Amino acid sequence: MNNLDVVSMCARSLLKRKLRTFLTVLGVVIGVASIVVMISLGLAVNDRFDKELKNMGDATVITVYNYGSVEMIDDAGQGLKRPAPVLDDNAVANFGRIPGVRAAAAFQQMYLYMKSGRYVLPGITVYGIDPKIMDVFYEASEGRLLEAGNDRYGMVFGINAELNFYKKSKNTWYSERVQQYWMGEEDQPRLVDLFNSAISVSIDSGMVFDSSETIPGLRPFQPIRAECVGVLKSYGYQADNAIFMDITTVRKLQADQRKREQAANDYYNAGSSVGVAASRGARQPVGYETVQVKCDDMKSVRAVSKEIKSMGFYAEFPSESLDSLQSMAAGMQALLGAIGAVSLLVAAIGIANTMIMSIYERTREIGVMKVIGAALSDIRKLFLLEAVMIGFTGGVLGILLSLFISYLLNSSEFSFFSVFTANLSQESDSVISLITPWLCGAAAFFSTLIGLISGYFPARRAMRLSAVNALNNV
Amino acid sequence: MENIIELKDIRKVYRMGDEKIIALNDISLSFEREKIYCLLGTSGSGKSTLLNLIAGLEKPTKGEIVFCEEHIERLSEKQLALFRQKHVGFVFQSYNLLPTLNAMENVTLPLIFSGAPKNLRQKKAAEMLKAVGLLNRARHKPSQMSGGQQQRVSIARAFINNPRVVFADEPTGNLDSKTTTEMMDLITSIAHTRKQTLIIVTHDMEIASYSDEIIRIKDGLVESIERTKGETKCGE
Ligand SMILES: Nc1ncnc2c1ncn2[C@@H]1O[C@H](COP(=O)(O)OP(=O)(O)OP(=O)(O)O)[C@@H](O)[C@H]1O
Ligand SMILES: [Mg+2]
Repeated sequence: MNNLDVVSMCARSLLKRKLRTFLTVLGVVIGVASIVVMISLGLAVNDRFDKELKNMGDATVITVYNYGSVEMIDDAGQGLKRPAPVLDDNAVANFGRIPGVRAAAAFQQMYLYMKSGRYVLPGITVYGIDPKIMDVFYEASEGRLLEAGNDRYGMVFGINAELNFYKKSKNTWYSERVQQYWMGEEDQPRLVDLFNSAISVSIDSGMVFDSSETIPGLRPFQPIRAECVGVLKSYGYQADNAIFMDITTVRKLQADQRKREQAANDYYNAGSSVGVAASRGARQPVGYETVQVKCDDMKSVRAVSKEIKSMGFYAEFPSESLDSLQSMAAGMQALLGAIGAVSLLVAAIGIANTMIMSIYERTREIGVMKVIGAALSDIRKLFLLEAVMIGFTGGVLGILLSLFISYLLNSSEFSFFSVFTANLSQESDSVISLITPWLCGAAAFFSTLIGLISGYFPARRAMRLSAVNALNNV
Repeated sequence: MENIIELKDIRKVYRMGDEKIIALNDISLSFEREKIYCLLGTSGSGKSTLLNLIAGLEKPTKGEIVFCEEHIERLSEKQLALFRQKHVGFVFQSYNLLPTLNAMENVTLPLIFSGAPKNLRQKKAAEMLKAVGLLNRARHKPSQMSGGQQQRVSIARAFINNPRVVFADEPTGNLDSKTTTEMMDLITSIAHTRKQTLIIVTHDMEIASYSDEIIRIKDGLVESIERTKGETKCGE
């Protein structure tokens, strides 16, 4: 018996019993749709977590902050506050010796103003990094990384940092390209020819806004002429929108800035004893602002972070804040998945029941087919394929239904998983239910498989019926 | 003439708990090519059982059945299906057409099972339907046809793959006497022109008169074998 004939006979027999076929398929549709929708909710949450993680930067990097003191829970469960150790070169070296750590690097962070020809960049975060180990943390997508001793005024741009430049005019206060980038137009043209333009850098916003206030006795800051030597690959939101310079340069600029702030304070608060006292207190802080610790892999991140914390520092890694949320979401997903699985199981029982009923009803037909020359395998194929067709049709319709439900969920204000995602950034493209092609394929495959499994025993029963008994059965 | 079927000491015993029902009690028979046989006997005598054994639908408890030089009692279920596909046609008392298929499709069913290509199937089925005079009913479902018409379709189906032997178990049991005559004329004439062996089960002497040889069965035994005089009454 050739396959086309098997298909056509099965289709006929299903169409003959329209209502029953419809109800059985409906069972599968509901089962498939419920499990697909449940999974899609989970996928959407995971997708959101993934995007969030990506924006947080390199997952294998732990950031250690210089917070002065850190809240610790001791073994007795008691909270205690104690001063954190200083985040100095010594600490950096110690971090570097923890097993699983590839390198540790100090970071200093400051806010600088830039200008290149007609284009201005009124304020961007600049990180000072040790050029010697920059390659452990970053890779360049264009140009090169900083070189030790060679790049006093060299800069490496984060991949999106250039977008923050805009053409200076009377009523432009921000870069439209940044806005468009976030609206989804990620291919923004470059305005500043990074590698061939001189870029003036200043700690003073006056360079950009031409409104420098002068403080008597203080020479205005002379902008430095810096040059861009490279652009990084993408390393999360913060690094992508920042510029990297030699940490020595950044520390010098920071010292200069502090001196100026102090002078300004002294000038404006002249006569007020409070002000003077306050400004005198602003001394050079001890240690680095942050230290980044690059781990060998994702697995060692947690242990290393624990080790650093046990040394008394405050440390954080990207996935940490998501961990508990993620496990909560996973629990919820498992529960929802189980509900979906139960409805699919019910659908499978429905198929088996329909097939067994069908065999009772058609016992005589089976006998006739056997007598007039149907091979055993033909009989099995006929009944198996019917079950498979029910499963497949139910699967496909179930996918369509779940796509529709998913559409409704995503277009409504209602957010089922807002509990888990509330404290994550509200991205415009985040969805409640995410149905991937992969999920559709799996759903179609499994519903067909369920048809096959639930049709297997009924089909075998049909195959084994004795022709004579089947014929005598009225 | 050469024997197409030979039975040696066929015994069929049904067990019902402790009770044994001897349906056939050491029967030996032979059937020649191109002849029409009739198994005649009262109800419960074992006619259908014998027919089922010869057609390979059931296995004998004991004995040998040689059909076209093949010991069919030794064949597996799978081989039997193939064997029936090639050599056996069957006409039932209650027509037994598949209700989901139309007349044409019911007739082609044996060819569908043997995997014949579609155009060949269509051609042969049209020929057969024409032979039984139902070409104009090709697209009708069994439920849209009379008993006589359904039986004609069933006859067309039995003959379509040109089997060596056609079996008919009380083929006219559900029909009136006029239709019975038509049906017997039809079935015997087809078998005759195609040089096929026909084995009919009946308890009706009228039908038995169409045969070349009447085998009387009683209580699982062959009571007598009787050659009818003269020619078969094929569609005079
Ligand atoms: N599957 C079975 N199980 C038990 N006994 C059976 C079975 N099939 C037939 N028999 C018995 O075998 C005997 C012969 O039955 P069979 O059907 O061959 O009779 P028959 O001659 O065809 O009768 P009828 O003319 O009524 O069809 C009967 O006594 C019947 O009860
Ligand atoms: Mg009988």
